[in-house]
Amino acid sequence: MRVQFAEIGGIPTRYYYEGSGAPLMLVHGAGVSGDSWLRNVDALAQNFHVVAPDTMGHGFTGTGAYTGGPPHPYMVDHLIALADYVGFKKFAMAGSSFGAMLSILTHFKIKDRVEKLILISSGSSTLSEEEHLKSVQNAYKNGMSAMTDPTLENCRARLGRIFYDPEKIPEELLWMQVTLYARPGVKDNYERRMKGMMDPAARQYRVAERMREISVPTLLVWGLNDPRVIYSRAVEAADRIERSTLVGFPECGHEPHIEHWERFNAIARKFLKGERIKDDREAGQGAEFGALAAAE
Amino acid sequence: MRAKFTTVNGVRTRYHTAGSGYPLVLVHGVGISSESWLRNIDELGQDFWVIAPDCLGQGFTESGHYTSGPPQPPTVDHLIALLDQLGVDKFAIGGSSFGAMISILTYFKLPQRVEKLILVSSGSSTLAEAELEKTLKESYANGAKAYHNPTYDVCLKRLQNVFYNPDDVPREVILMQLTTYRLPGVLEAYETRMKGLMDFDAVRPYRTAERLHEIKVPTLLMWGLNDPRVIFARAEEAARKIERSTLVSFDKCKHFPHMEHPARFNRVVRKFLKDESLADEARRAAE
Repeated sequence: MRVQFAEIGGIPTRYYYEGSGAPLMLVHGAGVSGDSWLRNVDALAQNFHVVAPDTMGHGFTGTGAYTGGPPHPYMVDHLIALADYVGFKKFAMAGSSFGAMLSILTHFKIKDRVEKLILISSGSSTLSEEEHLKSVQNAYKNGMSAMTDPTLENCRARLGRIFYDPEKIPEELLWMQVTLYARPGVKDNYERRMKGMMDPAARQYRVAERMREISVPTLLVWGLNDPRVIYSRAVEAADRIERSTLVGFPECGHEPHIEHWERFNAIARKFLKGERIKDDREAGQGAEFGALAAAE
Repeated sequence: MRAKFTTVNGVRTRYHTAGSGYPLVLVHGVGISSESWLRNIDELGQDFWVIAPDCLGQGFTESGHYTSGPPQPPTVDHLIALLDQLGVDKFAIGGSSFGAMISILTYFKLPQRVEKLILVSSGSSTLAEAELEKTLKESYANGAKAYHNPTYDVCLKRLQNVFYNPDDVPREVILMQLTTYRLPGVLEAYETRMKGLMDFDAVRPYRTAERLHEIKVPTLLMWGLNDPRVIFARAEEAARKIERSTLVSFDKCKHFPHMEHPARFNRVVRKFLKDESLADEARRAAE
């Protein structure tokens, strides 16, 4: 994998890229960066043309015209500008957490171009308003614990709270965060965006009630031990999406693509190639996993 | 351990820091960043105030006015300006490879403030001109590949060439290189720096190999015995020329003792800075 810096839709942007073939965009969650895909870009690039940006206001990407309020429309426009820039006419999108919500919103905006969706442990796309607010508040508090005082230890502790096995936190991700979070303005921008996500004005961008409108093949990958999501909500979402596959990962927190990257990459590859994947809902595993996740 | 950004004489600068107390400045070599000290900053921060900057035009530190010629003077000036800004008075300084040369030049400029020197596997400060030319050419051939095409695999392979055990290359350094090597202007800055270093007439005033006898402060030399970028006999000569010196060699070690054998490296540095005996460490090296 490699890095490119470019002006995308008027915003200085960093993105990782590698490979050739069917286009795949990877969209990280709130308060992290494109580095989140460090275990996936090269592996998936064996079959696909992978692009993994720092989304607007994250990593080494600027904030552009955004000054507050719901960040969703700004971020979606930036992702579409990036797709245009790298020549993605039609493409698949995989999004983690808030990145899954952005992927769905991008699909809604350019239906004929986003041909497949992979949604990864995403509370923002599947929880009720009340559940989501609680989840975002927890994420915000956790994020601030690192951004207010971004030592290596604080960055590690923050990710440790959302990993099932903190031993699986990549050290290189922490070293990147130590630099990213030390940059001037990063904490203020993070606060602005998180508040924007909790703003009542963000209601218009909710997708949980619009799952039926997703018309493309969709893979849902959920960590069964993820404190930011509720597994039964993923089952409901999958039931509403016409062509959906749901796979829960045991012993897995909020970042299945990092914590169980080999399994994630294998499943994502199968899904994108149109191969069959065993769904949790077959043989009642959904209920079993639901009970397991609820017990967490 | 944390990173900090500051502006030094108009130059945006990043440094890593940990701990408090007596200041220890760590200076990385060419083509790498302060992540070079990732196995040392927190460890040594338990006893010292560690400051590990990205040198001028490297890592996340901008090039400032440096656009051609020998990189030594502006790099030293930038480093001193940073330390002044941080309120560092007297300090110890340690450098790896070209960073060791920068450390010696900093000492020559501030003999009253630099109290101890740590030189780590440094060809630039110890080799004869003809030997250095060969080393720099090899280093350039290895580094330019990464700067021109910084994929994960290329950057990893490049550093593996200067590690005794290829598995020991810290992946943190590689991930960071993917970004720092693509920052605007960085490729040009690397070419400028290497060209400047290989202009032997121009850099002659900044050579230190012939001036090692002028070093009057306690000096610790740590050399990798398998390092293709240095000649161990030259380190032995250097240690003889420096009045108060200790030479510690690292077996099964190439260019980066501080990353390849961090536990021993940190132990030796701690002893040296605390004026404890290094006889055991030096003897072990001689065996």
